[in-house]
Amino acid sequence: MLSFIKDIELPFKIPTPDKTIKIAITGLSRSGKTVFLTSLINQLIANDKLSYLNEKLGRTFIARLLPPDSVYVRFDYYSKIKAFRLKQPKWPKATRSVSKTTLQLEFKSEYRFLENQIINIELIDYPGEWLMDLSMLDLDFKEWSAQMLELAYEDKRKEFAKEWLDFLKGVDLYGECRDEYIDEHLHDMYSEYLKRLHYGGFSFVQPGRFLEPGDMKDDPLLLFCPLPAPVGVVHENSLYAAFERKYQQYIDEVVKRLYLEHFQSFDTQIILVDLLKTLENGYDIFEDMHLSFKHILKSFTYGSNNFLKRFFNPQIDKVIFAATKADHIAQSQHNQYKKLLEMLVWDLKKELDVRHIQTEVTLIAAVKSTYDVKAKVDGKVVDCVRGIVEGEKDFSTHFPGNLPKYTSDESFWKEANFHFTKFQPRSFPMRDNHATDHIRMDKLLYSILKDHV
Amino acid sequence: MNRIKPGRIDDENIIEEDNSDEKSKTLTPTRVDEEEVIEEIVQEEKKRLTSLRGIGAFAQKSMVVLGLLFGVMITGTLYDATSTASSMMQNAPVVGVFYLVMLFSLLGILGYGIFKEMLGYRKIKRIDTIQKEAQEVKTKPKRVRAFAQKIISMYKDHEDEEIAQRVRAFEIELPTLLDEEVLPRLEEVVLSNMDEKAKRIITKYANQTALSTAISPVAIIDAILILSRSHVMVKEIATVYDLKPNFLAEMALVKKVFMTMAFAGVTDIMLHHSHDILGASVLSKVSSHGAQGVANGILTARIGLSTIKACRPIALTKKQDGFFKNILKMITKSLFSSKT
Repeated sequence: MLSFIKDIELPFKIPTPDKTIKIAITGLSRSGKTVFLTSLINQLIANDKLSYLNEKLGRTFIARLLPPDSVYVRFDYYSKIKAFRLKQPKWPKATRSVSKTTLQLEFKSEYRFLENQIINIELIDYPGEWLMDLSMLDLDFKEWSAQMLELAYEDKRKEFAKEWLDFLKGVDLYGECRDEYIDEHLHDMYSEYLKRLHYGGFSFVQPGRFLEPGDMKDDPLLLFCPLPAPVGVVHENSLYAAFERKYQQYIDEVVKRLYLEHFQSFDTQIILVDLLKTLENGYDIFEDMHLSFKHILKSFTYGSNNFLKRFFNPQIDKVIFAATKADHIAQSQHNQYKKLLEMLVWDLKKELDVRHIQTEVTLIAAVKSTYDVKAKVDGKVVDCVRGIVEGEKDFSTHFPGNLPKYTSDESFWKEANFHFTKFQPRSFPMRDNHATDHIRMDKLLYSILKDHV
Repeated sequence: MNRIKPGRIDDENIIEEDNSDEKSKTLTPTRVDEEEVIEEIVQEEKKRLTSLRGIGAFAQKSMVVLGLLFGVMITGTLYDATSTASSMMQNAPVVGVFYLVMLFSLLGILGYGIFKEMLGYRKIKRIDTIQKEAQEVKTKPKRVRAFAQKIISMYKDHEDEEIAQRVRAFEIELPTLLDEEVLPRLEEVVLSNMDEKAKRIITKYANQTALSTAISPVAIIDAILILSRSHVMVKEIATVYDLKPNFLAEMALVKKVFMTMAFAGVTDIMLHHSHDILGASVLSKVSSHGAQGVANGILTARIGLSTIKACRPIALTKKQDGFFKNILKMITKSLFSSKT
């Protein structure tokens, strides 16, 4: 009836405020942050496989990457996508440093006399290991050490930590330190322990810089490790005192700086969860991942500590938990897959809910590298996935195992029996006008954008 | 149950390469879900229904009487026809054959008509079971896909190309949806579009009734107008939901419509609303004819909404107060602005 209003032309355009959405893509190492970012940019620029998003928003938009600013290292989308467009595409290597990029979305205005709405999405990529340091911010050396040692003595970690703990017993920690190399030795043993944990699938591993030092390789600042608290007097030149100083310095100069620069005031936080890892490695790893997320979220949103409150005024209004790599299991399993993630984050979700932070649990595959087939295995028809295994050339079919119905932790983990194959990605379309195949990325993007458009 | 070892599979074992996932499900353990407990709400509904039972019983009795009467008439006629035919065959065989051909084609046409009627009637009846199933499915996510398939097959060949297209789009989307997303998405993609169309029809007829009854001088004409407009409207709405009612089906539908109207809470609230919105001052100032027009318009709208409720495979979840308010506003506007 009033459609003519849409075509009214004014000599000037009424401006609409630009918006910048800061999205924190959070995820432990190997959870697929870099792939997710690359795919997200690719999807939004091409916008040919986002039918759900377009239908729900009902507005046309274009997406472009803004030129890099001079302050931060740029997230190199173009070289990443190049690697995906090779004939034998490869997954990106582990991220070693922080990089940033801004994706601008320009939405066509509904009325001619209005300016187009612009939404900038700031995206940050960083090594997932560093994320773990976040919860160290509100701990001093003594508290942190106690926490770490307690963990190390737990049954599931004990065997990994044995060497380091044994060595620790033979060292004079509180007297004057004469051995020049002892700190280096202790550090090496501790990081060796962390590395073993890491390869064993554990994710709660602190400090993350020990695993992925980035630009701090061989920095003497990192030469410390948790130590048992002293009973008597501590010598000024003792190992303990030195480690305590270094720890404090590490927190102040490395951890705080990182978070002040990159992790302030987010609107939306997407937490990528690699459930395949937990499914393959069992209950211990599942629990450990839960612990990690608990620590991460605590520091992100509801810091009880003044420092955190002051600097990260909790502006996050939405947290999306997304189970990644959903293409590695058959579509018929997705319901169960999502349920498993719900089980992993149930208490975090509740905690966020009472703080008026919207939460959502979903599953995605940023890059779909397989497709579903049905196959007969041992006389039974099962859903399988078919893709190219890393290092091979032809498609092959794999049965990853069926997710049991989640009734309780015990029954689930008793029945859980999986084997996930590492598939290589399928080649991306050569030009930006087509995006790669994905699972549910359009729904995720809609959840991110819906409150801002 | 699933002791199949995960791992690589030979290509010969692949059976089909698609996403439909219903058959492959391994049998779940035989423990009965707690969900199997029948809801108490259903019981309550039944209690409420008993008040209308009396009327129903009376109607059924009279139907029996009518049916008997009809039966007597038909047997008589048939007997008449056969005896006429046999005497004709003896006296004038050519005319007799002609007579028989005509008789049989008449019977054929009648039979076909009755068959069609029955089909239409069953379609309406099917909506009942589907509505019940929809209620159950809401608490049992496992069955939601089969239910969605049923609805897809119902509307897949819809006359309206737009709706048919939406149904097909939904069918493609279905395997990618999680269980809990299926029903909301079904509403969003398929049903909301039908609702919109139906509501447009309601608005049209509510307006027509309001205007025409406002200018008609005699009460009996009002009644005829309301009846005829409502009749056409119910038919059109049913067509939107792919029911295409013929005589029997329409009877069943009308019965359903009035049943839903009898239970409608919204409409009672509406009466209050109409007073609120119009206000005593307005009603007293405009002519009594105009006020009657408004009331008739609302009545038509009520019938229309009940028709939607009767035809829709899933019960309407949203409250429809807003829709009524809009209709009311529109009617009053078209009535009174055209008068002055």
